[in-house]
Amino acid sequence: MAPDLLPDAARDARVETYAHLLEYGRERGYKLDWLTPRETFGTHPEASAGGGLLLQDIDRGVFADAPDWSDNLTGRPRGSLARANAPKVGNYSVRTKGDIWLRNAAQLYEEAVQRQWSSAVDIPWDTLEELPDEIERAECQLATFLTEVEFVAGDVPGKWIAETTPDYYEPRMFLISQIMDEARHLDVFRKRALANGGGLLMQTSNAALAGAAIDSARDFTEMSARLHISGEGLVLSIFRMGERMSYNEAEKAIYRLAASDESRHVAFGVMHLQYLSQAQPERREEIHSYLDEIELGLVIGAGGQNPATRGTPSNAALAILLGGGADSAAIEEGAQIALAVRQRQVKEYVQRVKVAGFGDRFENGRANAALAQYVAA
Amino acid sequence: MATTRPTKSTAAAKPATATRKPAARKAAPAATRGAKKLVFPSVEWFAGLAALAKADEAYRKFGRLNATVVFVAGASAIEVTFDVLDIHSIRKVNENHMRDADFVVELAPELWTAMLDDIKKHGHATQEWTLNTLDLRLDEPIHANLLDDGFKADMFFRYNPSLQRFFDNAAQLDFTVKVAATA
Repeated sequence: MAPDLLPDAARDARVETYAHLLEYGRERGYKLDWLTPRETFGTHPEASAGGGLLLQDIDRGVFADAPDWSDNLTGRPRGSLARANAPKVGNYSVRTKGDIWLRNAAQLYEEAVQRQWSSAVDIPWDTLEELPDEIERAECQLATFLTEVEFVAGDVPGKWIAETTPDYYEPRMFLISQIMDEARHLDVFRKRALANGGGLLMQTSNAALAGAAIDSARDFTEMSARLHISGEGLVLSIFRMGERMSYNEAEKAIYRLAASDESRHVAFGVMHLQYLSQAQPERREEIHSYLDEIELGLVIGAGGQNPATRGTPSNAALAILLGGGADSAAIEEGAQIALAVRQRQVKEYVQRVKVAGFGDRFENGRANAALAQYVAA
Repeated sequence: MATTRPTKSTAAAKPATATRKPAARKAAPAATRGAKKLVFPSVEWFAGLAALAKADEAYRKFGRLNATVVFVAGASAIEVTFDVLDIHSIRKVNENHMRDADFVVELAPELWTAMLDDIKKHGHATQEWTLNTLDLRLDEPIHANLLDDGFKADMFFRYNPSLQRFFDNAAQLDFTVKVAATA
């Protein structure tokens, strides 16, 4: 029962009890004002049917109220009572709700926690068998690239956690779960490179450059657009291709589970951008400028996430794996499959930008013209 | 992929790994054994699959999912509610209800048939016939939110391991496929 709906007699009884306690303390030299009854005292939130007790179930009243602007620099849990002499422990730069908020953060966080998996025991490593040399080398090169990419994806969100006020704890915790996901991806691709008689091959410098570009963002939304909408969205497409280039159940499981994680990260970015576009429409032009830059990178494929770009070690590996060999016919066939995936990749990017509320750029000519070729294909 | 896969040879020396094999599928629940042969698509067919999933440790291992999904096969549209680890409210729906679904999965009748044949033959969907690969390799995605809600549509990706396991369990059902063409 919500506190304001408590019967008058029950509410009066609580207030009376508290008054008695304060009086009791005063008489004996105790300071008992920390016993202040809160609005939710006497209420008993119910767990979701079959789903356990979720953050969405328990946060209510003042505890659910994420302020539009936060002056909480003391690490005070949202909704708790401020202590006047609490030290300032955080100089949070993300203190405006629109800067990081999204409506589904608690849901995505709970889902992330529930859908964790282990690279040690949830991948059937015993299905790995010796592969032809060119296939194993391609697997190793691709795994090297993905290990590198996942390092960036885990590295970049980290600094924003410490920059965010505890009043926006849901997106903060989602980012923590994302870092756990990325760590697992890094470890699973490292394991794949080393588990079948091969090893890590050539570092692909473009991934590091793309990571540096993402990391250079001075604003969370800018970072999120680059990382979640662009980078993660494109890597999601590569993971989705994984089933088609798997040579055993272990690889299939790796890609399938990693794609599931990655799509949560993409959902975070899309929903944040959507919230921002509604809450702070004055920032729309700024966001469009980030998307301009993202699309330029998307077209050039500098980050290595465009599977159809030729001449990179990771894409050569993709073509070999998709085509089933290193002869020219197989590579060409693999490249054609990659091109088809590229078209879907771009269409999915366009759809996500539309959902985020910035679809006008595809109607008013602002979007990069080269994307239109893929969308029309 | 049209080209032939490299032939697997004997396993090379590999680092020792502590591996848990995918949980073996349990025998079909009594409700699906010895009963009248099921027909795809039907409420009964999806109910049989739901019963298998609920008892399947590997399905449960993938974790919670919350989605109302409509599967469209020809003229038939069947809604299934995936509610954490429960699966319920399986029913036929019309187009209005489809708009309320988190996402709709639609395949041409011949593709449903081929996918289910592949699952029956191999015990699970192989490369070209997984939900994910079908979504990727066909001209149009097989999933959509009819109100263009991308957050909901993307649940198809977020819950894909669970959904694939759900369908892979069809290998344990005794059924035939009779998809009526769209009216």
